[in-house]
Amino acid sequence: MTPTPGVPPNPAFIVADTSALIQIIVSEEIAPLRVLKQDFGIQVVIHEAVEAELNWRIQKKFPEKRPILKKAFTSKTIEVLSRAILDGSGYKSGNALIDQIEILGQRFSARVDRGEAYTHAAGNVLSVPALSQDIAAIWNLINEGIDIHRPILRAFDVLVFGVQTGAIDWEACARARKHLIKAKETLLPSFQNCSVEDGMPQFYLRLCSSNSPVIGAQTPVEKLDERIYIRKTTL
Amino acid sequence: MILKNILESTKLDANFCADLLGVATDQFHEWLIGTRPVPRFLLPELSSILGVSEKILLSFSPGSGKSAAFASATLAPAIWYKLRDAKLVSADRELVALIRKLGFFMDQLAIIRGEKLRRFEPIFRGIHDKVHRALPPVVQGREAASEFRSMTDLDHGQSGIGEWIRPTLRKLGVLVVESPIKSDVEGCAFSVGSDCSATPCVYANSYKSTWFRRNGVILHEIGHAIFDLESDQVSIDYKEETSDELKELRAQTFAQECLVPKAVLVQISNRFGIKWDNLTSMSIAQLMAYSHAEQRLVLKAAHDAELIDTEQLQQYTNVDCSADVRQLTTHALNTREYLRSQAFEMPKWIAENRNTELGRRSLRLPSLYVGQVLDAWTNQQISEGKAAEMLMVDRDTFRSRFNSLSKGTEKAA
Repeated sequence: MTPTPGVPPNPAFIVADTSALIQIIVSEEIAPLRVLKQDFGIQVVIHEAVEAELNWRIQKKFPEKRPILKKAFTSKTIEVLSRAILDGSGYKSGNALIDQIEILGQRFSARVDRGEAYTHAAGNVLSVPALSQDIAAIWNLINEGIDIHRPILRAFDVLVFGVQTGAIDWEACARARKHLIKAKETLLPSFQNCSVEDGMPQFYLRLCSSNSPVIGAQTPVEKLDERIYIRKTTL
Repeated sequence: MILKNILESTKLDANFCADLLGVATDQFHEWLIGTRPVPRFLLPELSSILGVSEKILLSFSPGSGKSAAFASATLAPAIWYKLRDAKLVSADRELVALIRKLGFFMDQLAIIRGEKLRRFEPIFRGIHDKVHRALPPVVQGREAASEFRSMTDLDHGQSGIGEWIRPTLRKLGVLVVESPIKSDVEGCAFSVGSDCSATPCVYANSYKSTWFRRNGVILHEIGHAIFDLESDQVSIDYKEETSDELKELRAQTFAQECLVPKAVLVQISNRFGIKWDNLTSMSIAQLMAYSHAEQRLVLKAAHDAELIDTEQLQQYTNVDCSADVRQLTTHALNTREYLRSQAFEMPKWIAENRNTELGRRSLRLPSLYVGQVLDAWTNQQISEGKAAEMLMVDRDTFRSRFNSLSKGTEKAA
């Protein structure tokens, strides 16, 4: 697709953290991630530290969800960040970028947990959005004067983005919410006491397709609410 | 294959190590057999736990051209040599690994807090250099104890120092861990943390042990830390085992002279009018309660100070004074009884909130460390996830234990 003047191109990646990916895996709705890759050309990637943490937590806490995670990896819906992936997406000096991510990640990991540290390090170095559920960790880094690349997406940004693009429907979102409640996962305040559909007026969608009408709150609700518009690369 | 070789040399179980590092077992096995290289993010932690430098771990990664056999022959970490002893069980080795991971987090916490306590260095070096190695071990231990008490101000008032041992050692920057483990190990000393900031750690097994006994064990291990860690990497002491080895005699005398030097015994006997030729169960209990040492050690110290003779030593050792000690001091109570005896609410990091579990193993973290992690979290120096990582518990456990301490600005979305 030819770039439109004045409209920023889609980011090549979304770097995901364990906390958010666990919610997506537990909710059993990975279709929106597939749509991101196939229709928008955005690959969801994770750092090796997140891969290790994600596998471990799913193994320990949600062993019944292992097939879903495995499928996400084998279908390359989620990929582990590597030099080859960077090269394939047009990044120059892949090795140098990986080195930078390692150094920055190690620095961040003194203050936030390993997965968060390397996710935000990759987001910063590659200038792409991060998918992370832990607002506390983000504030910790911001309070330390560390600039975090924004927007920072949450699991529900991906799920609702799925509804916006027609990848899933509201019923699937409701099922996802049920799965999360059953797994005792923390829900966003907007959806804690009501269905996803009913909570939409209080939810500011941070990941929007510019090919479909925006849904949810029209103005930011929370401090970190910033929006990114992405366009379909396939027609 | 280097990781596999190192792990084999430590006799640590691979599944335990995967849990210790917080990674899935199948992924860990891929690193072990060399299908995938050990990721860089894991090297600092791995290096700190295993005692192999990051540089070495990197230099033997697949494709470096150095053979696994060479690595196995040359790189087995020194600290683990002794830990392969047949007398040790896997629980012992795994506990050491857990404590070494704690050392890794302590290094990180020190950087965040901007304070790295290394006051032990000049004190330990001073004692090490001052005591003449040609002297008999008992004299070495006695001289070292006198120096230690004087340098750390523990000799003020010539009273029992049991309550001050732990705070003093922590102020010096020594890691003190007391945790129960069903094993023959009574105590050990080894270093934790990275090569450049190695910190001595003394461990006392609290399984079926008393506070009085552990005071002696901790100081015994400090004796080893001062004199032996440089050459031995790790020193292990077993229950019910006595040794005439120079190192053991020196460490034992050091512990005895630190806890119950003659001056302390005399001060207590004067205070309570204790008659050495006619010790009752109450007077032995008083000696224990106020010298903070166990019965056997107090009486041995009295014997060495020529306050009682050998016959009296044997006679008094058989006196059961446990009921009297319980009347005199709360230190004779177990943790549950002690907590029940306290009218005020205990801080969150007391007792069970300090426990961490990893598979079959559990460790009671030092209260000072837990307090510091919680401080760093409530002051927003570290995230909730990091605090949970440092306390080696999952987030759900962390929240259930400490959520009430949160200032409200740090709720996960």
